Amino acid sequence: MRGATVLAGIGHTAYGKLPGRDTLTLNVEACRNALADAGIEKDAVDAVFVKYPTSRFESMYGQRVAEALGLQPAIGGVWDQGGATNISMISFAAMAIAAGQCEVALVTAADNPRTGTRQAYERAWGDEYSRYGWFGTPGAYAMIARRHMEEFGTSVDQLGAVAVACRANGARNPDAHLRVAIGLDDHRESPLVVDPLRRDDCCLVSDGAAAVVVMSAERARSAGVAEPVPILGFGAGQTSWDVPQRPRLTESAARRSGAKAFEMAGLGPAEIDVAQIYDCFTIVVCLTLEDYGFCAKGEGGPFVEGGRIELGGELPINTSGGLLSETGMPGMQLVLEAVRQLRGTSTSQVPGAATCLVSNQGGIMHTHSTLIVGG
Amino acid sequence: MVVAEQIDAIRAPYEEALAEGRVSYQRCADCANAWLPPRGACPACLGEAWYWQRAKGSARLISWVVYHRAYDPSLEDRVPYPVLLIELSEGPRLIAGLEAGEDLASLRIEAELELRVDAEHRRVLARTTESNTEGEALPKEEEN
Ligand SMILES: [Zn+2]
Repeated sequence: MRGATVLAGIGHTAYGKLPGRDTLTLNVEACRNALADAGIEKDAVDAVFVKYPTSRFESMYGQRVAEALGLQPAIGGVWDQGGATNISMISFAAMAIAAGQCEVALVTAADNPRTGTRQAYERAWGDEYSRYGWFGTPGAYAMIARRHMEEFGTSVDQLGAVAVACRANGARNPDAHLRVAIGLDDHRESPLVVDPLRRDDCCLVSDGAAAVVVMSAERARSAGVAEPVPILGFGAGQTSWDVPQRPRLTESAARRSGAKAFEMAGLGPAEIDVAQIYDCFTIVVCLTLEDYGFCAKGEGGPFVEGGRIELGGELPINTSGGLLSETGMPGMQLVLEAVRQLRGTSTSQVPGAATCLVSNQGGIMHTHSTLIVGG
Repeated sequence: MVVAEQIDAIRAPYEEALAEGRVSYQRCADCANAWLPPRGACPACLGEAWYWQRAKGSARLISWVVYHRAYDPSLEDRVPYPVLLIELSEGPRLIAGLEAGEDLASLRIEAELELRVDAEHRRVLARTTESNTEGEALPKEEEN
């Protein structure tokens, strides 16, 4: 499978507040741009994989998107994996292509929680827990962050280092929703949302869409795709729904997901030039880097300090700004940035980047998927 | 608004026990696994021969957070308020509240906890046993 399929094209909409744009139109815009980038005609597409809008789940939404695209796909649909959905669907598309079930797949994601409803991110974690005030996504991640801070001594400023790196990259990206670089003191002084997480530890809430075209390397060659980026490896992992039922709060499914992707790619962490690490909350970056083996368990805090994850550091991450700065969209933007890094067109380009790792994760680290691309 | 509670048949005994001031959990008669939240089959062996047991009321602190933002209008007069993730000494994990008067700054992971049920609100409340022995200011009401 290694290198058998490619990301042939990428496309996205504006990111931020997009009133009057429904998710179907946003999906179509991103797909239109991705097909144009690949130089592929719409009618060649025979698979449509869709990340459902988190803010408003709809049954058979994948078929609504296919209809809006004017397509009759052979295979596709919606996967309910939260933020891990995008790479999971790219992986599934690659496997479906390898199995001869389809040839050209669109994988697309759109949502408009900024102008629409944010309720999906703010509700109680079950009836029984609402009486304790156990509500919303930040609270659940704060529970993980606290355990990590208490168990390993991870500090506020170490979480801040993640925000500082992502915001600096976002400030250089003209397409980013939030283009304001910050320092550690700004992060430290930003208001507590759910202690120990502050405002600047939390991702943006953004409208927008992003899409990729997946096809075999062979098909990309024969179709004359200008800048295909080979998929070297992918993997996935999953754990409990209920955060209290997690076997270990400070370990995520990134461990299994990453190990499988590295194995398939025939690479290890030392051979990754640049990484796009799902950063819905700063703590997630520390945990994910540990679980991937970039550092030992518990050393994610010290690892992100001192500019190591900034542009020019040992492992630059989230070079378009990530969820903290480019767009709060759950994950597809990270895949697009991996393609730009390999093409050499990022606004925070890592010179000579030949491999890029991307993490996607969903819910409260319930689901995880990893993608490794490279030349 | 807080969503109206849907208490299904599986969870009803758990809620009834709380209303009577007791914390209960399910235990499997076949494999002895113990769990919460309530469910219809043992998640270890998948059997349905389970029964309810009363928890003895001790736990340890896995993690905790403090909400500074109210995610529901009903919580506005409670912020900032803590939420705890605890593990009963019998094994099951659950979300709990902190007793009034407990010092947030003294909380530590793995701290030994003593539980009490606020029966009126069906809430499990915890306090650290260390602060008991240190004789710090605590509400004097007796548990259970
Ligand atoms: Zn059992």
